[in-house]
Amino acid sequence: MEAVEIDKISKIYEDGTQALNEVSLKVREGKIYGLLGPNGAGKSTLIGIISGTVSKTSGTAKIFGLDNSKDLQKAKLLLGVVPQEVVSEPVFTVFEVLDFFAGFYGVKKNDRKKKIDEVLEALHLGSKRNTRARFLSGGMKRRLMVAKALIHEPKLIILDEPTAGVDVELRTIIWNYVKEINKKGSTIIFTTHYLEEAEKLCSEIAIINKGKVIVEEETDKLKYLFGETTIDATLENTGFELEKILDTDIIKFNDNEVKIITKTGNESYYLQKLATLGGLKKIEIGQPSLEDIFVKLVKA
Amino acid sequence: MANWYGAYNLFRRETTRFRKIIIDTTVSPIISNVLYLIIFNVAVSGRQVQGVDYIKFLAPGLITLTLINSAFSNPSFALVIAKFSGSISDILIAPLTGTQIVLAYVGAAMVRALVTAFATLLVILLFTHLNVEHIGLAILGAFLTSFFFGTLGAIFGYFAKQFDSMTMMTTFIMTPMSFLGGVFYPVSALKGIWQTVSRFNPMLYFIDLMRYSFIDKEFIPHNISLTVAILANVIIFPLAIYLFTKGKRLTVL
Repeated sequence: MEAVEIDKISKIYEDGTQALNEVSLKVREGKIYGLLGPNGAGKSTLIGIISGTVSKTSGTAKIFGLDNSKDLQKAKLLLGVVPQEVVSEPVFTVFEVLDFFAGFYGVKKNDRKKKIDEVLEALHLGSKRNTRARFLSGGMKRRLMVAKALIHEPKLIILDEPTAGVDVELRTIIWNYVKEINKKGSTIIFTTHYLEEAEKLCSEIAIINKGKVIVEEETDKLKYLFGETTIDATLENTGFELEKILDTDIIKFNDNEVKIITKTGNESYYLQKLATLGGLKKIEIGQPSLEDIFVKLVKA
Repeated sequence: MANWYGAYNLFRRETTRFRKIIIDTTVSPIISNVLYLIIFNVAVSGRQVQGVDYIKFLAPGLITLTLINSAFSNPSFALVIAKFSGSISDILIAPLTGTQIVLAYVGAAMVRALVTAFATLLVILLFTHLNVEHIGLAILGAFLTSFFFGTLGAIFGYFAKQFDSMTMMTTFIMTPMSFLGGVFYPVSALKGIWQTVSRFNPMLYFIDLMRYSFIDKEFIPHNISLTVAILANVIIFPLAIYLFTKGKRLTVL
């Protein structure tokens, strides 16, 4: 089943800014799905539309089959959302914030305490249980927001840059917990500027730019479709010809050294040729990173 | 399935909020009322208004003013602070309808208003003997007043874009309305145009209704005041639901 099904969603703000232009995508249940794009690409608007906090101009958004313009409250019950902006609650303690928030989702009093303690421990906030939320550090506030999104064990969790401004150790804590939740069956959608995070965690990725989805693909396939592998080799023989597979491939000889840039997947052809014709002495293969692909696609 | 348990938890949150800052929300208006009573007791001791002691005349006005200010402040400040702190996103994300959000905020406003007004009544009883002549009407009037101004506060919180808006509303609208509403003097004492202006002030009808229910004195016939109070609630409540269902102005500032 699709956890999220977005069909031709457009959003034009009152000032005329078109944030989204007929965006369509599908997120399968149980996946960790990355929504990437440069600043102002439309990611947060799309997340706002999925979570029902931003109205759409046209199109449909379905959450587990529920159209969120018709069954918004039912759809929201299935959702946990971490907004991008850090929220500071001026009056309440960490426990109270979570207690009320869990209550909004119908979690009964007897279950709330146990659940709150569990989430606070998992996110290393147990010692701050009775601290006023506004006195937490930035990183702790961010973790409290994650705790709020997870407290009612939603089927779909949307995290809008949950690790922005969070140090490496805390990022690991957050992601370990999110992965644990995912293993239990929740679907995760997240946006991030840390592309290595997305590469490590996501099974599928969509890249949005200027309000349009420019690619939606499984992370591994993305490398084959758009990645470029670099081969740096030192050879025993020189003076032979190397035929290109694609016109776009780059082959540069410098004495007995050669540099080849080719579409990912084609490297075996060149390695075989080099081994046969050039006698390989030394070789280094640079695999494409998600960052390379992201930059290439967004620039294009 | 309507998520009324979620709405109850929003109500619980908003009542807990005012209990946690009780000095600001409840003690402070009571102290203001004590000061009014002391000053007026000294300044106009023995003077009669509409055939009753001035303090007895003033008391229902102060109780109603407390109801009005407390009911108005609770949702309006909560919403403005939520917009600034970003915690308004909790409400936007939560599976609650516009009706449930309004009822939770207005319910909490009524609790605060009724608690503070009742405490004010107890303090007033230290200064003067005060009978409630029409107790049923007093209870109904207190509910109608707190419901109307709680809803008005929620609407104002919905529209407010900055903290200044709160000060402006209090200074330029609520305070003049209370002065023209007959809290401190009978509106019949106003001359010419000001008496006509007062008749367009909704606060007058709520205050006059409460004064009638306490001391059996009225400027406007109490049936008219009661009708206006009910009508005002009937008009404002659906408006609030409409706005909160649309939710356009419920955004982080």
